[in-house]
Amino acid sequence: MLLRHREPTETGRPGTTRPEPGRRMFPKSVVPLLLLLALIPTGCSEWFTSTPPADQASDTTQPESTTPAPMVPPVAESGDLSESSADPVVQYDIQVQLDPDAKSLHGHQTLIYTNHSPDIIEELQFHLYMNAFKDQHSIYARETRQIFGVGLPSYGSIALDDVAVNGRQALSRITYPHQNQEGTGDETVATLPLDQPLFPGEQVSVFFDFTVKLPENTGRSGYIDDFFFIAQWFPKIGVWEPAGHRGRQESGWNCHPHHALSEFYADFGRYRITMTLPSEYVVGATGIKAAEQLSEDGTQKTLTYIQDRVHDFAWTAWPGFEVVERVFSLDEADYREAEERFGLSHEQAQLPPTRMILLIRPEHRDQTDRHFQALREGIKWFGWKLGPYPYESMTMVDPPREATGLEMMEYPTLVSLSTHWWQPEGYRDLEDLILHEFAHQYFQSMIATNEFEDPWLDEGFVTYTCLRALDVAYGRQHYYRVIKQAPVPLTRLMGFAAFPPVEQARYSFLPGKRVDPIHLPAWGFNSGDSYYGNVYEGAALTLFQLERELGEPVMDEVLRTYFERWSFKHPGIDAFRAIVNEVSGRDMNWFFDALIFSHGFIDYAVMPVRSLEPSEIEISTESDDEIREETEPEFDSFEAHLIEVRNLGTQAYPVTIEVRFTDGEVVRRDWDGTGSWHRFRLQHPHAVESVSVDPENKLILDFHRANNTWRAKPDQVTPRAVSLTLSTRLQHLLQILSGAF
Amino acid sequence: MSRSMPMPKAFLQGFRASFVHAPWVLFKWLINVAISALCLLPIYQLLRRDLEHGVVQVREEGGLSFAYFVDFLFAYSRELSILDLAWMTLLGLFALGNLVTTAGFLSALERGRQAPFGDVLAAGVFRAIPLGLLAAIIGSVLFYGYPFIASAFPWIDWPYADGPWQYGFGLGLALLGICLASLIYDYARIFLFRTWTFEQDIPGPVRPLWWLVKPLLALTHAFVFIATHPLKAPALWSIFALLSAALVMASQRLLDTGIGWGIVQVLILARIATSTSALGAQRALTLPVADAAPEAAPTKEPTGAKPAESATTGDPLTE
Repeated sequence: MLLRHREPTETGRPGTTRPEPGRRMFPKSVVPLLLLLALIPTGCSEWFTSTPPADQASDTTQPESTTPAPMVPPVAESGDLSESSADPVVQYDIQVQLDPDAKSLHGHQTLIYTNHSPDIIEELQFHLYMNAFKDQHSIYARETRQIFGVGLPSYGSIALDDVAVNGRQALSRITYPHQNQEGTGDETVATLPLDQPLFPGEQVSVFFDFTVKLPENTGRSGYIDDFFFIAQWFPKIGVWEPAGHRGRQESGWNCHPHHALSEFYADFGRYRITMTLPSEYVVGATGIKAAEQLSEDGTQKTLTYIQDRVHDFAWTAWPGFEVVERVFSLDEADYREAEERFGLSHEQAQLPPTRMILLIRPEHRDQTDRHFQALREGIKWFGWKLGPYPYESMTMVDPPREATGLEMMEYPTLVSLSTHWWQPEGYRDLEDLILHEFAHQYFQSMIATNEFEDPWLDEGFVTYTCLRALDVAYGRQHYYRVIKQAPVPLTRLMGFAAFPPVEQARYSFLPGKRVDPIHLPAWGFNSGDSYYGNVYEGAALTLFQLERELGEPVMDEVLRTYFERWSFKHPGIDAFRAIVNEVSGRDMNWFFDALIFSHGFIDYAVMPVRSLEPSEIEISTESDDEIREETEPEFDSFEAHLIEVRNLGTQAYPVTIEVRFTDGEVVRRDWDGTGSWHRFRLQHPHAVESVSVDPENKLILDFHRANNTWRAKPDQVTPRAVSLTLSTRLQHLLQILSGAF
Repeated sequence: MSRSMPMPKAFLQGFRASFVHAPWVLFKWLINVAISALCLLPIYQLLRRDLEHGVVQVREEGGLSFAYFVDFLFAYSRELSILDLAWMTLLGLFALGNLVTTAGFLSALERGRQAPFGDVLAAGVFRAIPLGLLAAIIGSVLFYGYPFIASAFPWIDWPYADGPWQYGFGLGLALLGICLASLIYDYARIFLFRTWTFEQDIPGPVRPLWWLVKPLLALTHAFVFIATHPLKAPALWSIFALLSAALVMASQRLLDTGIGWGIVQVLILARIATSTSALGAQRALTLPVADAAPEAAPTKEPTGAKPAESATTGDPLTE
């Protein structure tokens, strides 16, 4: 899902809107006069209490993933799980009927599950996601209350009317492991003991007859009026993980209850979905439409969609959609771009055609090209940087404006957007959204990490790659602040230059409280702010930091290798870390320890240089612990300069310190960044001109980069010039606001 | 409806008004400068602390560096938060100061240059109340109503859009709002008050009812004027707005080249004079020529204020 720093630009129904996480970083009080300072975050609300997260208390199946797990070989290499399309783990065949009046679904599902593990499986576990909306006792509802301060605004559920295993009745054997002793509580996971154990290589067929009552405009799945966005709607089997898989100690099911902030982890498989609904409905779905049939009286239609090698299936239906379809293919300009900007030959740049389908609201018709252009840019960037998009189609859905609880979500080959009629050309919110959701096709849909346990491997990679793609496709941009539905280019009005997208991520992440590390399960964060900040922009910035550490070509190779090795599989952090070490040829474990597994922030600062008189040198000879003295023998008789760099932050990162003297000589020293300060003495015949920590400006996570340098000669001109520029802009703006033009 | 003044003459009258009543223009500028400076001083101090010994890229092609300001804002977020309250007060003062000086300028237009400053200021203060109310109503209608208008007409885009047509359309819409606001105000204050002298005779208890009806009449009158002179008022405001925009851009460009703050302020003063000229020009434009003769001037203020002294000037703008 895309949870960004954006405010809704169209009105949603009160009470049905999922609280807009984009507001989390923005101030509770905003400097009203100086519009520039409307950007200042002054605090983050505490959404979570200190109560242990519900899942931690109740979920006994999850592996402990908050600490670094030992490196394991990829499962495919160890033969643990096969995700090949020829012999998928799961095969779903579902016939479903939509009743628009009752806002319900009735389905018949046949699931064939193949045990590809070396283990003997004695029970099956299933997700019944829709029960998250059954009552206020579900884990989803409890977490929603904790995070957003409100309970469920509407209700929904999934009822199992019949269950059979290999043709034998099994409904009575269903239990709910997350229910409490009173039989209430969460019913989003069901356990089904098997009559006979499932041996390696064996298959089991499970039949479900189920009824879904859809919730209204909440939880990323449901309805509003006659619009339906239907996701996480059928009984979906969990993932059997053998010991060793993603650092797991013992084999078992990985089948988490539906959490407020995470929901994805499933095996790849083959889906065949046949849906029947009134004929006036326009449908979009995961995969390719294989058949369409109208009922005899013409009032109902039956559609069949199929898709191989996906781990989920979602669909949407609304009579109001207009359908536009185009085919992605490369032209000569694209090949030139591939060569000039990506260094790819004509042969290397080849990408397969993709059917791009847009279900758009009629009033957004004039923005059709923008949608396709953005998707095109995504297919190119990800295709050239990671690997070709393998599916035949990609569908974008533009939900009705009231559907604020059903937008901005990603599913295999299908994404929901949030398009607004008020979309100036320079406001790249739409493009950002399309690229973000398309990036999920790679990081989540193909590289199928566990969103429950490793959310940053999903959203963090998506945010990072999306920002890079956005930069390549659209270049620098301005910050638009949405004021009363109007995106205002605030930075441009205040006289700022356009900036690369990564600065937007810094702006979003840096002011947040650093109380959690990036690597935590979704329910393990201290607050909603902490979750969003770390999992999205925090992880993205850390990957940008990794890119600066390794260099862009090496980072690109890391991404490519990660995709080639782990697409259609379920990697954990160790898989990625191993690839970083392997491709870079360096031991980068320290990087993960410093920035992924630890929390805090980075801020190095140079202190004013003290030049010591010869008489002081004796006095200043403190213990070695305090002063690491650098003596240049040839300058023994010269002035001594005391250089001090402080670590004002809480995290450590190796840095370089550069000292420039007035005669042009430059001296560099490395510091591992640990401790709260580092001091050394240089003897030199000339005065110090400047001292810089991180002189190459590599440390993108440094909280305050202006204090990274100290120069001897103060600069009075720049602050004055900047102040006057701001002042004049301010006068102009206030003049307009006060009614004069 | 009476014949209105030709456009060129109205423009000249507008410019002349700004010179004739220069003290009000200067007063307005001084308030602008003073309050902007008050807002800026703490920022300058923080910037000085940050940049005096630091080496960061504060400027880049196209303007100030957003990257630097991200650091700056967060590094000094505590200090800046403390300043919130002060800035809110200053914002209020800025808006109020501009409103009162604009209203004072309008009062000066009515009363003539011979009128005592104190009288004009007092009239301006009273005038500022309905003027502010009117501006707030029109502004709210535009601000809150625009999305709904644009929802019905999706091809409309926001004034800040990048495309020239979108920008032009948005600007045009904003100008139309200004036109309407000032026209309504003018009609309400000048014509209705003066033309229908029976207002004076309305008994006190019934007068509030008349105050309810009067704005509607003013609105109708304003629409009638725009309908009968569809180009005049918008053209007038467009030309002045373009002039103003040119001055804004010139001042920003000059500032980027390192030119002094004083010269930029002269341009800002010119910009303020442009907006007051626009008010004067509209007054001249909408004042029917037939009514502009001294003999057509009202003999007394409807509110019971001091009679206008401008009859001796022979200047339609000062009627």
